[in-house]
Amino acid sequence: MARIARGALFCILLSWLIPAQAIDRIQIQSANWLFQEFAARQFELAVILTESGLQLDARAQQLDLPAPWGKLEQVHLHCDELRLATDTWQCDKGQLQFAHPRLGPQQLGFSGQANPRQQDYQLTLSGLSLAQGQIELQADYTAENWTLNLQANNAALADLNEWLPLLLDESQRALLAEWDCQGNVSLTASVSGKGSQLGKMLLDWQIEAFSFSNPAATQIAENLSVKGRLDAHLQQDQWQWQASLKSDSGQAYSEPIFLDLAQQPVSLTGTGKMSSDFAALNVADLHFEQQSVLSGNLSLNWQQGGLTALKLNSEPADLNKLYPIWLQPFVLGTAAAKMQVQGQAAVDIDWQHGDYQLQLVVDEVSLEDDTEKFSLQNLSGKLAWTNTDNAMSSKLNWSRATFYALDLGAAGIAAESRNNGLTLTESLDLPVLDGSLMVNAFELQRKADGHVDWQFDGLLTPVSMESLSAALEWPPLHGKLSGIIPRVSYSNQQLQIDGALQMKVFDGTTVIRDLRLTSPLGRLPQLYANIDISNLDLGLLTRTFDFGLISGRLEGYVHELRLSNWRPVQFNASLKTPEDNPGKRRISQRAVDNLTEIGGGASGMLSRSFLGFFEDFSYQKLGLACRLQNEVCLMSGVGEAEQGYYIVKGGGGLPPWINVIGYTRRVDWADLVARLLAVRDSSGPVIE
Amino acid sequence: MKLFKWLTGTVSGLMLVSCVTINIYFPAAAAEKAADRIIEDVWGPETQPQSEPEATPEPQESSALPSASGLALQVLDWLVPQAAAAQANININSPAINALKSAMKSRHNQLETFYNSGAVGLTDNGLITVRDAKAIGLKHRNKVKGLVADENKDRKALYAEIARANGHPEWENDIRDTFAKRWIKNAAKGWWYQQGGSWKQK
Repeated sequence: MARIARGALFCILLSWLIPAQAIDRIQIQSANWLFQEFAARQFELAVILTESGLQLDARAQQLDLPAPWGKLEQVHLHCDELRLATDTWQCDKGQLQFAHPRLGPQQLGFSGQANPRQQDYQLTLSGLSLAQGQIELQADYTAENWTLNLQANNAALADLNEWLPLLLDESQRALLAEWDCQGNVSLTASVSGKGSQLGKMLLDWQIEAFSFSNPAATQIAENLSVKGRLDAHLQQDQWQWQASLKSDSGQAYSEPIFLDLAQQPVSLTGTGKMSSDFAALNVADLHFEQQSVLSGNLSLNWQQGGLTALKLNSEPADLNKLYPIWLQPFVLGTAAAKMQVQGQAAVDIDWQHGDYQLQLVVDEVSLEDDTEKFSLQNLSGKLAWTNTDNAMSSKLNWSRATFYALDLGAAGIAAESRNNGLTLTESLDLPVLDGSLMVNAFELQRKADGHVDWQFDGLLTPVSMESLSAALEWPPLHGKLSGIIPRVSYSNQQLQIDGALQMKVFDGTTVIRDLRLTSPLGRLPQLYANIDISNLDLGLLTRTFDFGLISGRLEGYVHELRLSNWRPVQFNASLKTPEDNPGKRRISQRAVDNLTEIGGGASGMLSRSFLGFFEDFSYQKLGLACRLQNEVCLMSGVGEAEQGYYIVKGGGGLPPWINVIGYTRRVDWADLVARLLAVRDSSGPVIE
Repeated sequence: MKLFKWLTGTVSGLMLVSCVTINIYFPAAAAEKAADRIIEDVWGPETQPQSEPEATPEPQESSALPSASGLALQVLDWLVPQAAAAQANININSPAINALKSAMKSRHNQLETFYNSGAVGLTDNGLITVRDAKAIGLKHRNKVKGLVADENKDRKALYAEIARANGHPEWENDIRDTFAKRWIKNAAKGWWYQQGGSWKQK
C-alpha cells in the first residue's frame, strides 16, 4: 500500500517537473492512497496544463482525516488556475465539495497560497455551512505567527451541541447537557497566536432568540437578544481583557429575580485579567446598568473556583422601581413583602474572605405597609453594618412613623455597628402620640441562625388617654398612660416588656404587667398581659360610657389576657366594688336597665314597673366576672343567688333596694360584646 | 428518728403519687372534623370530605414528674372524666380563625389553577410549595411564590391559633399533622401531594 502511495506521489512530482510542451495532462488514479494520517479511496487526480497555468482537479470517494474531522465523502477539489511563482503555489479561485456525517453536504469556495520553503501559508474559505449558518474563514500562517479571521452567521445553538466535544471536557458537557438551549448565534472573530499558543482575540458575538433553562427551571431565559464583545490579549502569562454585554429584548428569571429586558435593557462593560490556565479571574472595573432601575460599579477576584473579594457600589436608585425587582422577591412571606416604597437609596458593599462592610445611603425614603401595620416617612441618612471588629457609624432620621394605630413622630438615631450588631450611641427620644418613649442602651444583634434580637431600657413619659383612646378608636378617655420599663426585649419573634405601664384613668390606677407581644408584624399578632385595676371612680366611668350613673368605686383585674390580632380571646377578669371603703353607693334606673340588658334580660323592664318612680337606688355591692375561653364567657357576680349570681346586690342605704341577678353562666362572647356595644350606642334613658 | 421515718415515708409517698402517669388525649377525631369543616370552607364544596372509619384517638403519654403547668393540666384532666376528655370538641369559631379562613378562601381562587396544573402541590407537613416551576410563566413566578408564602403564613397561624383557642397551645403540631392528612384527603383529582418525600397525584 505504502508503495502505491509513494509511487503516486512520485508520478505527480515527476509530472510537474517535466517540461510542459511534451505533456499537457497528467492523470492519476488509485483505489487506495495513503499519505501520513490521510487515506483516500477511489482517488483521482488530474492536472491539466492551460494557457495561464495549471488546472487541478482531485476527487476521492472517501477521505479519512485525523480526529476530530473524521471521514469526508464524495470529495471534489478543483482549482482553475494553479500558479507557481518564486516558491509560492497560488490558487485564486477554487471549489471544494464534500459530504461529512456532521456537517452534511458542503460546497465551498476557497483561495490560498503556500510557500513551503518559507513556511508561509494563506487560506480563505467561504460558504461553509454549519448548524444552519454560513461560515467564512481566513487563515494566515507563518513561522512567526498566525491569524485566523472567522465570520459565522446565524448558527443554530441546538445544532452546535455535537461540536461541543471539541471545546469542552466530559464533565463540562454533562453539566451543559442538562440545560435546554436555543438560539441563533453570529460571531465575528479575529484570533492570532504563535505556534500552539493563542496570543490575542477579538470576538464580537450576538445571539438572537436566545432561550435556555436549567432542569430545575430556576435559571431561565426566553427570547433574549444578547450582544457581546470580548477583546483580550496575553501579556506575561495573563489575559488582559475588556468585555461588554448588552441585552434589550426578552425575559429572564434567575431565582428569585425576574428581568424584563425589553422594558429595562441591561448592559455590562468591564475590564480585567485572567490567568492563562483560567484558574484566577480578576474583574477590575465592571459597570452595570439596568436602564432606569439600577446602575453601579463592581470589582471582584475569583480564585480556584471561589470568590475572594468583591466590591460593589451602586448609584442612587429609585426605590419605587428597585424594590419590586431586586428587594421584594427576597422577602416574600415576611412583614416587608407588601410595601409601597418611595425615595432613593445607594448601596456600598465591600466583601473580603467572608468579612464585609455594608453601607446604605437613603434619601427621603418612605415605606408604607399595604396592610397598614407600619409606615415610615422621609427616612434619610446612612445605615452601616459589618461583621468585623472595625466599627462603622450610622445616622438616620425620619419625620414620622406609625406602628398599627400608634403615631410615632419625628426622630433620629446615631448608631455604631460591629460584629454583626448595632448599638445606639445616643439615647433616642421617640415621640409616641403626645408622649414619648425614651430608648436607652439599645442593642441589636444578628444571631448565627439569621434571627435578629434586640433590647433597650425605656421610660414612657405620659401619653394622654385622650390621644390614646382616639388612636385606638375607643370612647374618649381622660387621664394619662406612663411607664417605667426596665427592659424591652425582642427575641424569637417575641417582644417582651418588663416592668409596668401605669394608666391613670377614672381617678384610679390601672397597672399593666407582663406585657408580651409575639410576631408583632406577623399574620396574627398575639398580645399577652396581666392587668390590675384599683379604685376606679364608677361615677366618672359610667358618665364617660354614657351607661347610666353608678356611684361608688371599682377594683379588679384582667389576668391571663390574650389578644389575638388585637381582639380579646382569652382572659380571667373580675370587676367589683371593693370590700372595704363602701362610700356612697347608688345606681341609677338606667344603669340597672343596662346591666339587665347585658345580662340578657329585657330592656326597660324596670322603668315600666312601679320602681320607675325612683331615679336611683342604694346598693350594697356590685360586680361582674368573666372567664373567657374559646369564645365562651363563664360569668359570675358578687355572690351566689338562687339559681344564679348577684350582679347588683341591693342594700346599704334607704330602700327601695334592687337586686340584679344573672342566670346565664355560659355566655357567648360575641353576643356579650354585641350587647355591650348596643348599650353604648343606645340613645339614652326611656322616659315615660 | 421517728420524725425522720415519718418524713421519708411522707416524701416517698408524695413522690409515688406524683409519679402516676396520666394520659392526655388529643381529640383526633374532633380535630379531623374541624379540619374538614375549615377545608370545605376554604376550598369550596367541590372537594368533599371522604368518609372513612372513625379514627381512634392517639394517646399521648405525659410522663411522670411534670412541670408546674403540666401538673395543673393533669389535675384538670383528673377532674374531667376521661370519656369527656376523649370526646372533647375542637372549636374553630373565633374571629381570628374566621379572618384567616376568609383570607385563605379568597387566595384559593388564585391558587386553584396552580393546584390543577401541578405547579403547586400539598406538602406532608400541612403546607404548600411550588412543585413544578416550569408550569408557571417567568413573569408570574414571584407572584405564585408570594401566594404560596402568604398561604403558608396563614396556615401556620391557623394551626397555632386553633391550638391556643382550645386552651392547648401544645397541640399545635397535632393540629398541623391532622390538617396535613385532611388537606391531602380532600384534595381534588389531579392535584399533587407529597408522601414520604416523593410526589404523587390524586
